[in-house]
Amino acid sequence: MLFVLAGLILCSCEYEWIQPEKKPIPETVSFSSDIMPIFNKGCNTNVCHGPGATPPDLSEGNAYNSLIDGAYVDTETPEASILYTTMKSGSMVPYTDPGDEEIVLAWIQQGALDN
Amino acid sequence: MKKLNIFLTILLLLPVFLIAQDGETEIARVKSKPVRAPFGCPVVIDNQTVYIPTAKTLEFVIEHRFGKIENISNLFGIYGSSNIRLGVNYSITNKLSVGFGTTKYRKLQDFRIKYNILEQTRDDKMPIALTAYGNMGIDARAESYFGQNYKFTNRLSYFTELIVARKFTDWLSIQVSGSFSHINRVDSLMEHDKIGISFSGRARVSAQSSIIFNYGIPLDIKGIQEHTTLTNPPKQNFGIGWEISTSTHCFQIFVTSATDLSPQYTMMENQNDWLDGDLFFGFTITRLWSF
Repeated sequence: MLFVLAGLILCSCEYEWIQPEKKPIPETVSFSSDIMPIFNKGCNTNVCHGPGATPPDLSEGNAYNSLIDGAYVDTETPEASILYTTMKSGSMVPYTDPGDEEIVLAWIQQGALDN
Repeated sequence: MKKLNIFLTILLLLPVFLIAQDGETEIARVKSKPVRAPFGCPVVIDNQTVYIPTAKTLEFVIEHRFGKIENISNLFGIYGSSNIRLGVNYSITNKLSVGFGTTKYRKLQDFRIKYNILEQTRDDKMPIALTAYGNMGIDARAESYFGQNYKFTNRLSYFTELIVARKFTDWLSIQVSGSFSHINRVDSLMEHDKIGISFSGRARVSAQSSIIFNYGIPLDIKGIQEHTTLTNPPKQNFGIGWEISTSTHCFQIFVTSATDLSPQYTMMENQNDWLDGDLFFGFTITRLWSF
């Protein structure tokens, strides 16, 4: 049994790199139809970024003002926006679907409009 | 590089081979009595200890990390995003335990094995305890996290550790460990392998209470480094706290800079710098049942 276990470990040890599957980024990113669905996947529950929970409040109707007023978005240097960096390489990586952070970045680069 | 890979594979398989040596170590076993409880818990904050509960003991472990300590508005991290691991371990013999656990981050499912190679004895004929620990993790998130050309083995990661411990006095135990971590498929900016060392200790302040600490250092070793420069090298992790242990329970509360509850990811991906104030409250509860 130990040799089977050793064999399994030996055979399953690999050195591979992640090759991202690119999500299509809309030509014009809409806050309501492209960004909010990302937050609605589980970000804005009552225990995470819902009303009265940890800022920013990402619930429907509050998310845009919360992000802008809380300076989570930097339209002059979009790559430095807290919203983007926490999704790309910060504490929200485990909760971010691959590619969603690039849609958020495109939205910021387009001026972070409430569209 | 090929020789190095063979060496690292042997290191990865060390716990399995050491268990196979059980018969030989039995022969050489010293008859002296082992020291009592160099550590009171199988874990010390973010690291394993040399401690294995006696044979036929089932252990239930709850490990929890709160959010980053910021201010009163997030109640010093308690309102922040958290990580949790639930695990069970079973001691097959006094020297061998196996276990399984599930963790919120990466929906990681892990299988563990721990083997006590040497026990420190009261007469000091054996001055140290030596324990081997290994785990295999399965990242259970959606396939999309692994990019193109997905296959099941992309989900696997490994951690192997040799722990040397000594109970210096009735109140002070210190351990040093060397570890090897491997993740099968990583981001293009990351490494697949990491060798690390850790220092942990327990200082008893009363019959049941102790001050505990852990310090983990991921090493930059050029021989196994795949990138010339590392974009986000893992940070050293530090934790200090309070432990209360009885014969059937162990409770630890602490602050730590590591939020991953899997040692391979702590060694390879921890971006929290405790010197910059990236600290998190956490606790570990263990409950033992003997059969």
